[in-house]
Amino acid sequence: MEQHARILKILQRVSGKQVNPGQNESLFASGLLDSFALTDFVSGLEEEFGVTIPDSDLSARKFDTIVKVDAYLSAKTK
Amino acid sequence: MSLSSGPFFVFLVAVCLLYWLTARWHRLQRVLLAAANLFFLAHFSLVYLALPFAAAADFGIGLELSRWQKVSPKRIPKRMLRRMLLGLSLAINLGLLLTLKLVPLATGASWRWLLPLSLSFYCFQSLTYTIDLYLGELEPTRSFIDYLAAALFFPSITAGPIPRMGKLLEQMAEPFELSAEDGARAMLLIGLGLVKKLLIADYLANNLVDRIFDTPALYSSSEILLGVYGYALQLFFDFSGYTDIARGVALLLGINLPENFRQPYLSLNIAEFWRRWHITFSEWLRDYLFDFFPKNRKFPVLSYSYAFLFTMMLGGLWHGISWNFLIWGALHGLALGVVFAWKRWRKAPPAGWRLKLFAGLLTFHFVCFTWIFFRAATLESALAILRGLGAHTWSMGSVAVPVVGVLLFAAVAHCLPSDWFERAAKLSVRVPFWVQGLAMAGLILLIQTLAGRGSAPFVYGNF
Repeated sequence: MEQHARILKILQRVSGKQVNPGQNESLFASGLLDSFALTDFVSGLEEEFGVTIPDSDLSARKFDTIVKVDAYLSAKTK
Repeated sequence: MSLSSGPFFVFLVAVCLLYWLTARWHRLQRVLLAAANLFFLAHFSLVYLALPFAAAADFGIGLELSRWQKVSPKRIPKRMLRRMLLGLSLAINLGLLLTLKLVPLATGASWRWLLPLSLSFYCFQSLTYTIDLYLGELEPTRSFIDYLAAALFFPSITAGPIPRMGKLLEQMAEPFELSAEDGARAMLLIGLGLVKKLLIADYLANNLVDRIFDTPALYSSSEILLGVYGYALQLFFDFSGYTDIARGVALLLGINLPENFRQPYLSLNIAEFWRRWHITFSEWLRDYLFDFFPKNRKFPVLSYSYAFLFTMMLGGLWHGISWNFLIWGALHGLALGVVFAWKRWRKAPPAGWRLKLFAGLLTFHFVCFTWIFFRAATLESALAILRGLGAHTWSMGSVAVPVVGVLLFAAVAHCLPSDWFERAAKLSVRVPFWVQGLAMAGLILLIQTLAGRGSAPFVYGNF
């Protein structure tokens, strides 16, 4: 499964909504994520992609769009 | 020069005419906008003409931050140099913010005329520029005129919304275009903002809220309760009215300012409230303060709760250096911690209309409770309001029927479906632009006449 679809699956699980946001749509502005849900979303990413995300990276600006999440994970898995 | 005053609209018409006439010369338009910003600020006090010096410092810091991101200096490690530059920008803006907050506090009302604006919104906006540059998320502008046009943007400098500098500069770089749809939407926003401010917020303030908060001992518990509800609505219509006018004015200049309110009193918990109330401020707090607090996912409730508490306490103190604002911020911070803990314990949101209604009423009344500290002039006044509420005396003799009517109208207007505005904008686009302009002028005159004593200052203009 490609990275984008796997990210989307986690987002749908955390937000509890069957959504498909645009690549550059703000996940925070659209209400799919907030500071509360971000911890679960990041834990989901760690589990799914086998990466370690430090607590210092728990920031809205790093995970605000699918593109940013994608880029963050690509940098981690290089 | 308040955004709801006659002189402001004369100024606006002059700026718009010049701005539209120079649409072909994009650079000249930005010079014009920078000049309009300075004229607007000078109208409050000539002291603000010194603001371009602070702006020049941030502009220069921005260029240096960008330069040292790409070039490694030989002697000083570049990370340290960039941190020093960011520290300088923080010192300038937070220093300005603190000075403008503390000077009126120390000197009393007698010096208020010299510094009538606190310029917090300018400082917040400027910090979005240097911090985003530091984080490598933005390219700096090379033109100081462009920077002045954006950083001192007159529609939003006194009370927001707080746009990100990057977004504002991006929009200003685009050629100016005003479609019929945007023109109609702008007129509708300005008209709506004036109605909200002058006919609802000012009416509630003059005829209910100010009286009850100034002399609570003269009123029964039920009247005080109505006064607290009245303040919740007054503040919403005052602030969202300002935002509507600011967004409408910006749209006439081809700029889309971000949304700031989304029916906040319909929130089902306090976290949702902050996603719907003063959205640009809560996003600023999240991105430039909350996210920098260290957190630990092994102890999420503890680490998040303290980050919420301190973020909201600082947010409270921004409104004014007093116990009341500190308590207001602390209450919201604690409530956010409670919601966080609750969400970790019970993952599912409330289901069923009864639970939703209960959650909505609980949230609304908690917000109203905190507004008591926000509105009362002193801690003693806030406690007097609370004592009055606890006295359980029931009478409505001092509240006139029209006041109850306006309260009910305001409550219903707040709950109107959010898509009605777009529908109204689509309808009004069919009306010729000059007719819309004339209708706006008529509306301003009518409201000024009906409002009688003229417009009171916007509440958030004080912050």
